[in-house]
Amino acid sequence: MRQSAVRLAPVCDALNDDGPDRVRQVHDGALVAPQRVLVNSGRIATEPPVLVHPQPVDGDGMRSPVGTRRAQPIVQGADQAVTDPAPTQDSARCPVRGGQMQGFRQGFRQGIRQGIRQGIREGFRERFRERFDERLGLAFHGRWTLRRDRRTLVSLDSRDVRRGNRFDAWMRSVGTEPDPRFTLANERTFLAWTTTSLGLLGIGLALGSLLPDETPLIRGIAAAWIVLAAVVVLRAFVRWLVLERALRRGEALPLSGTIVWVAVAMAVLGLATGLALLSGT
Amino acid sequence: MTRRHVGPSDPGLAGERTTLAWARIGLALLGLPAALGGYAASQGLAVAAVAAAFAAALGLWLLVSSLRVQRTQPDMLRREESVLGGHRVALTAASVVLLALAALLVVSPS
Repeated sequence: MRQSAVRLAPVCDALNDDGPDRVRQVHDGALVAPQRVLVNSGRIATEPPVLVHPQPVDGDGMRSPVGTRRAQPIVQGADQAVTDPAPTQDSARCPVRGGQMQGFRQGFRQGIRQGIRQGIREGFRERFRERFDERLGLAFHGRWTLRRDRRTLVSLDSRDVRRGNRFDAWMRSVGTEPDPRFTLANERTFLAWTTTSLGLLGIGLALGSLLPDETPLIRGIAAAWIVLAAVVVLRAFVRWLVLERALRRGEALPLSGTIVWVAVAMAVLGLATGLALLSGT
Repeated sequence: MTRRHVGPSDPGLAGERTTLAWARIGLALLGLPAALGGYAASQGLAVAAVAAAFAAALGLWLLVSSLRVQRTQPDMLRREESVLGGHRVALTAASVVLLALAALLVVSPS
């Protein structure tokens, strides 16, 4: 019998020393990993049988083989310590390895089919919309999302719709009402950015229209100040939208690098303005 | 309406600060477009003058609206109503962009 040919004592020693995943068995001159080892601790350690090159085994047969491939052990619950030897050394006829591969392939195919069906059912546009909704906020939803939200406005806050504040009702359709101090602080931050934008606009107007003799270079720099003012106020509006939505959802406020690039742009434009004015005079 | 509180409420001063900030923006949006519109009209830039006039009207509306909000906001806070002023924020951003376009028309070489 094959069972009698397997020396069980080294297996039990290995269980005590190294754990189930280090177990080797000696079978007809070859090292064969056990197919199933039931351990006294109440767990079954299952390893796929792995054929190792036949080589002389010294001592108790626990020499570690070289050049073998081994799958990860699978642990299940059990009571006793029993060892089932590998029935064959041919991996093509191995029920465990073949079963695992077949199950893996079957699960892979089922997962792909299920994912395709789910994607078609939900629609790709909806999934992209949710991704943009998470990352960029309400400002970049586009016409399609705005239309969807407008359909739900009447049922969400009819008082605001009656007053004509559709935009406010649209904003209130997200999350819950935050502390009023947060909302007011967000508004003041937007207003501070607007003040900065108006200051940039004033610089551009003063350069482009109030100087007695404007050169094309000065007018170009003035236009750059004005464009920067418009970009700053648009960015402030988007930032206000994103922050307000994060406040209403109770999320952490997202960081922004607007201050950095606005400061860099102001420094560059200020330097260019100074050089242009000095070269003009 | 459920509302999240983070500590002792101090809504009055925050509302007042916000109202003053709105008033500053209203004054700036009233004065800057007026100067720009006058200059554009003297240069014969009708489109820029109209845009500046529109922005100035919006600034005047913001100034009046901020005064009205200052009067009604404490009652809204006591009733735990929302103090969200999203439409004013959007209109302010739009008016500043409009003003920037008018300014670009003015400073661009003819």
